[in-house]
Amino acid sequence: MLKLLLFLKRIHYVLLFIALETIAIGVFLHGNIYQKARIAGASDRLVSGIYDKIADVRGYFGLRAENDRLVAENARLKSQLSARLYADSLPARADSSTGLQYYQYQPARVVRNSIGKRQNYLTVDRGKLDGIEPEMALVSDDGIVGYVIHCSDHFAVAVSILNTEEFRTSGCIKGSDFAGSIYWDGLSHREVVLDEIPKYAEMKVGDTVVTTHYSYIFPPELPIGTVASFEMVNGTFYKVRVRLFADLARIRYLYAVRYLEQEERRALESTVGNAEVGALQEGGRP
Amino acid sequence: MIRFLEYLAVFLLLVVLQEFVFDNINLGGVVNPYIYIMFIIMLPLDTPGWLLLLLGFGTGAAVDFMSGTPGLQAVSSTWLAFVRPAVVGLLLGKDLVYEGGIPTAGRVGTGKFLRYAAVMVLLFNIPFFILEDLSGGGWIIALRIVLSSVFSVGIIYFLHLPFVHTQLKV
Repeated sequence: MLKLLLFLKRIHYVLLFIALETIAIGVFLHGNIYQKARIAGASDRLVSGIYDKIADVRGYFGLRAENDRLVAENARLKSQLSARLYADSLPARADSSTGLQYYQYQPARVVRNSIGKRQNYLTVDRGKLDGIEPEMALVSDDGIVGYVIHCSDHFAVAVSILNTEEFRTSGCIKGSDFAGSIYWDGLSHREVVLDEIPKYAEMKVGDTVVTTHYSYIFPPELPIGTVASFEMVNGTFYKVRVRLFADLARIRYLYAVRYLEQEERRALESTVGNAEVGALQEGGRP
Repeated sequence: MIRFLEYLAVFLLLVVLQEFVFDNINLGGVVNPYIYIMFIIMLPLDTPGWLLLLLGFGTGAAVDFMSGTPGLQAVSSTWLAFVRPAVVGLLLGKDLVYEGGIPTAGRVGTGKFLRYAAVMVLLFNIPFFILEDLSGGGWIIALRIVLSSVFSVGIIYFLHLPFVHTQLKV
């Protein structure tokens, strides 16, 4: 017995190491996206609060640039407005409760953002009380930025497009019907990959890449970036490198977008066993 | 007690610096400095093993909590605390361990300190960058490890200068 105790005392260092490392590895391996979101939510009040203050101060230095950006955006929106509203060739729905409006935009400010990791997230200063919910899209006027996964009362945590594991959506070359999946390969924060574009698609460097109608989250035809280069893989599909319009490192204001018919569409599509198709387009998320 | 508060202050300062300054550094997509491990590197040389391990685990867990990455930092920082006695014994010599006190360039010499810091940073960064990007390509991970380590060692050297002339002991 005494010998055993002495032995344990001698190797207590290794035992303690094994115990602590087991805990750490356990948490690491089983930490899925929702736990990450919970942790992000828990440290919210502390970290986001401070980031909020930092963003406040930094905001003043960017006022002029922000103004210029808003004026430019306003001008562009005004010119699009008349063309957009009735551009759909389909007649209006019988039930016009939502009319032609499928997406609701509301502004939010980025208070925390990372681009240096492989799994990047961002926090915005709008939360549950402002009507933000998980699975709302975050877009800037330069294109898609991410989607919300978790909300506290005043903040929301979102998966950034710069997230190699958790971000997937569909994209296509503007004006063509061939869609592929958009994901980040972690190489540059200015570039994402548009993969599995059928070989019949025609494209050239500089073409615009936009979102598709397949997504439960992102509105269609939002800009993503331009084709930087592309290669044929196995002679069956194209792998395209897309240069993002948005510079994720400098993003400060964006819009949270609610897809008004998200629930209805998801419920309907799942009734015909089509859920896999939807899930596939969104990268296997439920 | 005073000592404890001093270490607590340094600990908090490093975790806050990591979260609000160094986590935002991303040079060329490959340089991501993790500076908070300086706390583990600079602990007194005669820190008992169990305390070293607990502190190693604690620092990593604190940064994990702040940046929302469960376990990722703690795995590597606990490992770093575990190998520290061996690294110290090999690179700084057993005599210093008995003397105690914090390892600084003033005590052990700039060359020796840099070598010690570089080995410690590498021992942290190698598992860290592999774990962070389990599906990533080997070359890009190697590049990140090397460049981030060089950058980190430089920063840690400058951050440790204020301590060169203090004689912190437990």
